[in-house]
Amino acid sequence: MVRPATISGGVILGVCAALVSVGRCDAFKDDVHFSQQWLRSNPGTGNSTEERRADQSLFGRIHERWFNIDAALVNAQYNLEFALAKQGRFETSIVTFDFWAGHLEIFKAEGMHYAILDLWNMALQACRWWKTCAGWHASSTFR
Amino acid sequence: MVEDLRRVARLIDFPLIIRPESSVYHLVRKYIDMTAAGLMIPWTER
Repeated sequence: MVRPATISGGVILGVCAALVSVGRCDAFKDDVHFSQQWLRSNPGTGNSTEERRADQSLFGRIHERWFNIDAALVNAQYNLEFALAKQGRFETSIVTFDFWAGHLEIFKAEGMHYAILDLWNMALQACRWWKTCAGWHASSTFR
Repeated sequence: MVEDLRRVARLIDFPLIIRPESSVYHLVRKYIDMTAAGLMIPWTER
């Protein structure tokens, strides 16, 4: 004989699980939504945002402006780019994973004096005359 | 990619220094022809 309290508990548990599933529907609609939700909810995102707020240096601003992903999120970002590419949407993958000529305009606007395009290491570095440089690598191994 | 970067660098008057993949003649000459602001020749240390 099943007690009424057990049945009620089971029903409540089922309703809670259903509510959680409904809340997650959008994230599991397709690969793009899943990857976007992954980037939003990854614990590393919060830490990197706080660090960026604390770091108001020149390089911090450039990072925040154009490389708004953390190294720990590269895989998740890659999944998002791959899902977008499968849908024929390449608009973000170029900015994220390859050198873009617009970077030079950003470097100049941020007060950098010159840039070094290192083809041996596939890196692009923004520099000041007194040799403080910030660099990014092509593909998924930037910074 | 290199040509695009170099062209934009010239347009906005922003020096772009290129470090070639190697210190071989045809690569260095190509980047000189692109009118790079400067070259960093690799593998010259002794």
